[in-house]
Amino acid sequence: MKLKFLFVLLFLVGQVIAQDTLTVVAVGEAETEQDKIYFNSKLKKDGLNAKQLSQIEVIKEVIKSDFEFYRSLFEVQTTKSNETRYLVDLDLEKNQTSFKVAIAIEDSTEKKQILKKSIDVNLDDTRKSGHMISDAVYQGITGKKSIFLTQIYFVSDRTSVGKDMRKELYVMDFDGENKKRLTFLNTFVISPSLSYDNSKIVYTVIENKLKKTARNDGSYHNVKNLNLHMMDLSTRKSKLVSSIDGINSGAVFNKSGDSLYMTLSYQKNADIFKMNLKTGAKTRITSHYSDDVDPYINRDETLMTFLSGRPGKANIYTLDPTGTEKSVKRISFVGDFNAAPRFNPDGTEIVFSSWVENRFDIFRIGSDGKNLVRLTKDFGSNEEPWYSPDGQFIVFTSQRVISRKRATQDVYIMDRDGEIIRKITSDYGKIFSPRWSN
Amino acid sequence: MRYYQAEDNFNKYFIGTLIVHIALFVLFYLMQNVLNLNLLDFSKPPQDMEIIQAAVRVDIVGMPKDTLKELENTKLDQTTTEEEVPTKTVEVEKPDQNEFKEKAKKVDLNKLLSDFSSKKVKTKKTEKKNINQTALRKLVLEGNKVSKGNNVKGDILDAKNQKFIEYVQSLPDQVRPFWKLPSYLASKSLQCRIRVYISNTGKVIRAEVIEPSGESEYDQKALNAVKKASPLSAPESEILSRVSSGQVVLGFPL
Repeated sequence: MKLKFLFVLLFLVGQVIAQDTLTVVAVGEAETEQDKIYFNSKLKKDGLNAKQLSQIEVIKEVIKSDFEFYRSLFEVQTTKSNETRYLVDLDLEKNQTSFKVAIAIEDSTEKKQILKKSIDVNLDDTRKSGHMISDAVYQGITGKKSIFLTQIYFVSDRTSVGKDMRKELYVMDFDGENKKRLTFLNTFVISPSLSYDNSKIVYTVIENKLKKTARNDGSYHNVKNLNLHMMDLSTRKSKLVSSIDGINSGAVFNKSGDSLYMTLSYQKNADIFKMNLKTGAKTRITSHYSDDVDPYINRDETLMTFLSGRPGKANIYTLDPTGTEKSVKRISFVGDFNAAPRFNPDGTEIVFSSWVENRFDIFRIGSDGKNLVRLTKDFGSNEEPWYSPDGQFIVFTSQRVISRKRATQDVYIMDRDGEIIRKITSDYGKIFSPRWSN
Repeated sequence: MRYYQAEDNFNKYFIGTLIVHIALFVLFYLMQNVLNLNLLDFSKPPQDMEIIQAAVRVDIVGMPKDTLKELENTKLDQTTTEEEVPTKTVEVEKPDQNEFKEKAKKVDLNKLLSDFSSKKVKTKKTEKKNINQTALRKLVLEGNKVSKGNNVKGDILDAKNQKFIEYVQSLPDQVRPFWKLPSYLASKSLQCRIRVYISNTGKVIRAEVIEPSGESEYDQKALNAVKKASPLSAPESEILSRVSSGQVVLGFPL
């Protein structure tokens, strides 16, 4: 009996010994890959005049400049080497009145051609032609859209005259070139935001509004009101969207473009509402005695981030925008003043600015409130971050104090990990609210 | 007469029961301390998966002072420093079986019971498997801020496992140089796990994705990193059976 008992015990011991235990060890975060790319340009052809030859040179410079933005992915080589992974052949095809560029990309690692296509180019629009070629090459390699054909909308005070401050809306290519003025209102334009299809932009204007006086004798007086306007970017025509008493500001489009999420303050304190653009119907999203401002919505409209004074200081929150005060969650718990929370394109992280040591710096946090990291430091005062449509870059403004009376504020682009890529504006007034197109 | 017979029976059963109990205690002691079966470890993770990672609780009391780039640079610096430290100071009590046998002969039941009851049940400092994945991801990121130190304590490093654990811990440094992703994949916060089978020369005989990321390109990049890192350092013969039978899983990134 005892022997049997011991056999049972030994059998059990044997079972435990035979059991496999998997031991997991973390390799850690991957290093970002950088592939070497060589452009074999055959763009110079016989029969081109001097102007066309110089235009070709500009196109080549634009392509080189474009790929410097993606320096974490690519190293553009000046000569082909054994380490070249992507060999890009560019060949100019000249028709009677137009030009085409034939692009062929060879992946030397995979030993196969990964792209062969021709695109029409307009030599009189050299920068756009260069960006189009860059985008075709980038898409051919990565299968994803680049930032090369995107634009950045912004507000500048460059038309201010002395103490007569003015802020107008402008647009430029993603690399800071080709700037154009969009509004001529001679007043203050603030917090612009673009629709997902890039066809419309909403912005708030500080305007005078006639309001009945407190005497209640039928007389009126002028008060300042923050009214919301929307511009059709194809016609450049604007229309008034909302002018309720108080703030009509911080509006952002939902993905379908039929509604706006915006801050209204007609009930004394600021709250966030969803407004149907066709009917004008408003749905309350936040309802709290503290101010809730600066909404930003993810693409599938399942999560909204906003700024709230609920904890006593301005902090970042998220909620489910399908209801009022639904699933409200506080995301940031530190920082004296947090501002301008913006989702990345897939909604997994939020970039924002925070007042630290007498200036703003830019931070990134997961949409679940985890993984807070700092992106800028000792680099002026940095505000109003906004993701590029591919989520790889962040555009922001950085202020430098030159003297007691003078400060510059320009637009910079960094990658999502905080490596400064380039300053893209200079001497264009103080710049505010850069917004990357989609 | 019947009284004496009953007393005899009682003594016989008492001694029999006592022997069985002592045998059980001895067997249990051997299983626990010599065979290292950790029978008292009720915190063992499910599916027999053990995660080797130092757990550090980080309470955020202010905005981070260092930027992500500064942290990454610090991490690189610390990696270099760690390589210069030749050995870890590991204090592990190695039970001497001969000594134990001698003591077992002179076993005092009261003392044995007293010692056993006062013996501290080892508890894991590391919350294996239950560690929040995002926290771990952060730990990888923040690991450069927290010195690993050179004293390793805790029951995962007992005598029997020490060489295996040290070997497994050496693998990430060998694989990481080949672990590269294009930024459009790196920004997606994906994770996969690869089970590796390593030969006596360190060659990766087989590598299989046991927890895919859902993005085949990501999994393939992780597999490529393992293949390019092969041959890894050769395992010692004592741990060969464990590393060649696929007990090692590499987490990309966790």
